[in-house]
Amino acid sequence: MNTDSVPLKQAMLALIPNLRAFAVSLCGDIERADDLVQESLLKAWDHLESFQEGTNLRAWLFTILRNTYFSECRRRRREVEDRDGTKAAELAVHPGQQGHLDMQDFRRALNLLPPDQREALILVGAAGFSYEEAAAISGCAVGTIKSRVNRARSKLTELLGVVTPREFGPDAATEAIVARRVGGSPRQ
Amino acid sequence: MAGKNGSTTYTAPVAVAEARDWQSSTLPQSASDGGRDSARSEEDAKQQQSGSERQSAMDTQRPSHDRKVPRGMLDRSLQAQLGRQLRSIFSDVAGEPVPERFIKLLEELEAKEKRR
Repeated sequence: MNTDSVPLKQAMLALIPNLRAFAVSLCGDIERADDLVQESLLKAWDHLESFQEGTNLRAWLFTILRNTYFSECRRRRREVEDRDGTKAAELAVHPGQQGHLDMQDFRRALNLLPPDQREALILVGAAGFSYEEAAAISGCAVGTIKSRVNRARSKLTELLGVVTPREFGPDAATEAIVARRVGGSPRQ
Repeated sequence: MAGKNGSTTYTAPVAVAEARDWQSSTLPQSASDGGRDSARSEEDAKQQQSGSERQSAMDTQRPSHDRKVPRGMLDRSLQAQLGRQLRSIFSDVAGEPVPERFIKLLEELEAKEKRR
């Protein structure tokens, strides 16, 4: 190996919080996430020579982590599908207090998304990558990423779209809250 | 070098062309986790950019039952809220200190490296 590995190690260390955040958002489980991070760090270390100096280490590590996650997913595909079926039935879409979307519901809904859509949404919507970067990380076309993000948002809206009059019933107080939240005045 | 066995498949996306883009845009932020705020504004810009696309996607899924509050307003409000929740799941963990096990792991890897 070469002497570059020392600053690279420090850079990797600094990126671990980001990797964990990505892993947790992807798999929804902190313990599994930390195992993913560990496996990814080991792989990264073993293949440091394939990292091109001066390129984005964060994107490179994210790529390794997502590939680790997706190959694991493929191995456990049947199990995952079974579990998702059960989860879908259990998902509560009842609104929390006054239209506030419950964080637990949000996490569950996120876990219900197809993994490729969830990944695209996280990369673009939370990790701050551009569509182009997300496409490179996921190994697909930019248009594919855009469409996955759109489908992910639609699906989440569908799963958690609790602030609509239909699901709340014709409740004036609720509608006032909804109207205020979007910056308009309550309609009569 | 890369490609000596199947475990290096992840190097494929890091082609030279994309790597050049990454280099100029996000590398300076990547050394710390302080890139989140700018990431946020990027996301906002992207949301605006793809707003009409997203809107039409949702039009096909949502029947027109929202009479009192315009559908677009509801959707924008909901999308903004979903965006905040997504970012908070991410940033909650990204804000945590590096667990001891990873500090040890990297130290061990480095020590092994030196013994070679």
